[in-house]
Amino acid sequence: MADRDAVIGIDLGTTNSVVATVQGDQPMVIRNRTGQNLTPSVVAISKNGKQLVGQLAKRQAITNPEGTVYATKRLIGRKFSSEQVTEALKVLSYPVVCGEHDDIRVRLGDKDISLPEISAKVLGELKLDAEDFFGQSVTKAVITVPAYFNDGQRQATKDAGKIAGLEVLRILNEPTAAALAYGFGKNINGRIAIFDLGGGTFDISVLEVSKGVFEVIATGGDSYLGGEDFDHRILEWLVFGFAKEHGADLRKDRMALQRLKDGAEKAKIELSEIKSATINLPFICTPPGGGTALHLQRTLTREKLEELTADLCERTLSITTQVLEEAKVKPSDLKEVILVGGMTRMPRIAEEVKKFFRREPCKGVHPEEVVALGAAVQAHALTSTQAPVLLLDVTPHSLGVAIAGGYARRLISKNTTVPTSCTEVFTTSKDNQTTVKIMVLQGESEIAHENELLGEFCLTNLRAALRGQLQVDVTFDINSEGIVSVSAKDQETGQEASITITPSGGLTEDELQDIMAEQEDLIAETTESEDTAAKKSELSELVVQVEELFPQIKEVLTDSVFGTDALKRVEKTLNTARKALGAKRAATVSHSIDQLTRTLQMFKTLQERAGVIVE
Amino acid sequence: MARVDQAESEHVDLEPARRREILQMDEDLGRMNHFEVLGLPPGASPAEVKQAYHDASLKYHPDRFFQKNLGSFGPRIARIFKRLTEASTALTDPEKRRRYESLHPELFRVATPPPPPPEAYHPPEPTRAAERRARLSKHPYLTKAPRSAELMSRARRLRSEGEYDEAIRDLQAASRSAPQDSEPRRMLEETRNRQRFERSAQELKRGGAAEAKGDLELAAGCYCAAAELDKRTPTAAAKAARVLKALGKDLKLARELAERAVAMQPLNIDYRCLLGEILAECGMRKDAKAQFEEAAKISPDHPKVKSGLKKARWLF
Repeated sequence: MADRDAVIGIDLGTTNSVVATVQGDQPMVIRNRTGQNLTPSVVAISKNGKQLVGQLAKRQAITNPEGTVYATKRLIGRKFSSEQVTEALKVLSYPVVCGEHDDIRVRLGDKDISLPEISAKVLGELKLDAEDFFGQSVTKAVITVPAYFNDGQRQATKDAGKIAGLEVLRILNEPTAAALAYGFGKNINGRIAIFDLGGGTFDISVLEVSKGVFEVIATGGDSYLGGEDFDHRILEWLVFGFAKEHGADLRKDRMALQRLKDGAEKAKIELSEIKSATINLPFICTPPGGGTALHLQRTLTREKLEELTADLCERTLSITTQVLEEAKVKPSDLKEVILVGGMTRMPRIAEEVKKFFRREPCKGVHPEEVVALGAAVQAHALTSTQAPVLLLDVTPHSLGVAIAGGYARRLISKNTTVPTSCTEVFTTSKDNQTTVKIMVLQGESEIAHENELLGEFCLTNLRAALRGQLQVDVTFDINSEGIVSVSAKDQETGQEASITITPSGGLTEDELQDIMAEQEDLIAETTESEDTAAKKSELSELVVQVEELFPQIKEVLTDSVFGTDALKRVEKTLNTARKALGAKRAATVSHSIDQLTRTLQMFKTLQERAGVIVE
Repeated sequence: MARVDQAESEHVDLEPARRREILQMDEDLGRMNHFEVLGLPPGASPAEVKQAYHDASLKYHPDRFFQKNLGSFGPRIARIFKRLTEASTALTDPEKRRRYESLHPELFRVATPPPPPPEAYHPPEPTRAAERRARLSKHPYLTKAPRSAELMSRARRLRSEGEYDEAIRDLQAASRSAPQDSEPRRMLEETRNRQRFERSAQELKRGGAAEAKGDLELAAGCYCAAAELDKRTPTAAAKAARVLKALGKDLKLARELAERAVAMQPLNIDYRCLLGEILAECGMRKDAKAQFEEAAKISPDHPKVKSGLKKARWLF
């Protein structure tokens, strides 16, 4: 067991991330190096150019709003031009720009950084925490994503794992992970529902569990419905109230916005415990016409919060109704309802869930840690020989192709257990049509363009024939990794064309390679930086000393037989040392130090001898 | 077979026994029906299916072989698991199960076990029976018995004359007057059935006449009524489905009727094609295709089958 690779499960959350593993057949959370179970998913570049991740980054967010990146999970794998992104950007305090393929980049300092890179920094931090815990390097991980993430978002998350130096064994759905953690080691038989309202997303899944087999029956959700939206409602309420009173729009000031966001989140959390919370933000801004600074102080009651967010709560329930319908399950058929995600701590949510399912939701799991624990269970199940659990997961979105008239024809409907495959016969719609273009779509709409386009390819050089005469078999295949491949085959000639869908999470393969190469340098730099800095100063001192002595020594040596050769060598060493001063690698620096120390030693001996001679 | 031999000697991370098992299962996939794939007797209940599926998943889900060197066994395992999933979904989803049943009614015949034979009748011992009769003869109710017998014989006569309503009235009276006697009740049931079948035949005739005159609405109404009255034979159901389809009305009902006809006579090519056409019209092209494919197994050259299969394709 000891020499088996350490494997971890990571819940890469919108607001917080958690890393866990299975030890002695029990899943457990690995604490981060500051002793916390939860690591904020925040990355920052401080004013002095230092990179901060987690709690440290979150702590300085208020004073450094433009250099602090948070909640990237809401943007990852999305198109810059999409409606949700445009909407989300309005309240972001950090600057975001459009990348080359309509992807999203964060401008930090003078660099534009892709979102997978940002997430990779959080993952890298968790990886280090795990390595600290195991005392060995950790490379294999299962990472969770909201069940309702589409292919692009999943791929982007996978890329983030790769950049962080992790081999991503599986991208796992969060509610499924929660179910695994809940059911692990218990003898459960029956149907359970997972209600997961997290920082950024909402998911609901229904599973059937028997003898360690966890079969997902149906899943659904909204990847834009979570704690952030609740915070935003409070923020808006504060901003409008303030504008009414003082006539100033606080959203124009990034720092004020960050403070408001912080205050809103704190008030929301407090209201889960107490009936009313005071938001106190002194010196929030200076009035438009000048004068003394304005303060913001308001009291938010639990009732007011519930009123502000009633429609969000409603939305979770309407999605739940729909998913139960798809699962063909009545609330009374369920054995257990499990609440996951920090937002389910809100009393109103817990109450509405209880009312809907007509039962007390399960309190046995830690809503913020259970997902990571489940990811660890799955990582363990995949890598161990006698796994006690097996997960039968489903595809959360339907897959199909575009057909004549701009419609979409679904081949694999959502909630189909993966791996799966499906073949259907298509035919040409025009006479003498020699090419068919196969556009692979993901989504539920009957109208082709309302779905996500995963990829497209052509089957060319078809036999010229009347419409409807050619027969083309189109086969969809999803493997257990969730990778989709599509092939088309002309029945008559056997001619084939196919693609494997590797949706770009915003990064092309080349870009990913570049980042990873760069990342290697960066990792070396960041881990050895302090050490290196000390060595560099030592080296530069040596260089100065050698340079000072050099003219004297030259004089002495030119007379000797072996002198010219030695001088050349010294010059060479000096050159390498000067270069090493600009290098990033600590090893290069130490090497030069060694060389120069020896040179200096030699110089000193020579000097002594020369001194003797002179005297 | 050569490929199988080759597979058996491949270098993979699998026990020889496990290999043979996988090879055998993969070989058999094409031949087995949904129940056989899951190792179940025909007609097994959805709960049994689910359990069998979970058990089989533990053996064949690709995750059970994660990062193992599988060679040609990888695709085989994937194929087996997909087939298991297909079978499980087809037999646990009520809608899909019904459809599979309409395609393969023979697999479901055994589903409902025959009702247990009625408890054997033990005649009372002669002496005790005589005693009982003597006691009962003093009972006032018993005087009604002759009246019951009279009612029964009249009902029989009426029934043979086709006067069902009156026969039923007499039989109801008879069963009321002799509640402990099962004979009038049985006969009442039988008479009601006979009346229904008779009416059904009449409706069928009326429908035929209406259809000949071109009054499809009326014909549809008559056929539907006939199908509702007589659920034993597929004729009325099929006719009703056909006319409803021609009218383009109430396709859901048409589908149900056609499905009933197919379930009763799975080998009737016309019924299959009709169901296929209706399914296609309902937008359930996949199901339509399945029906036509099933029909093609019976009679591949039937013109309706051919055109049906053609229509079940999608246009690029």
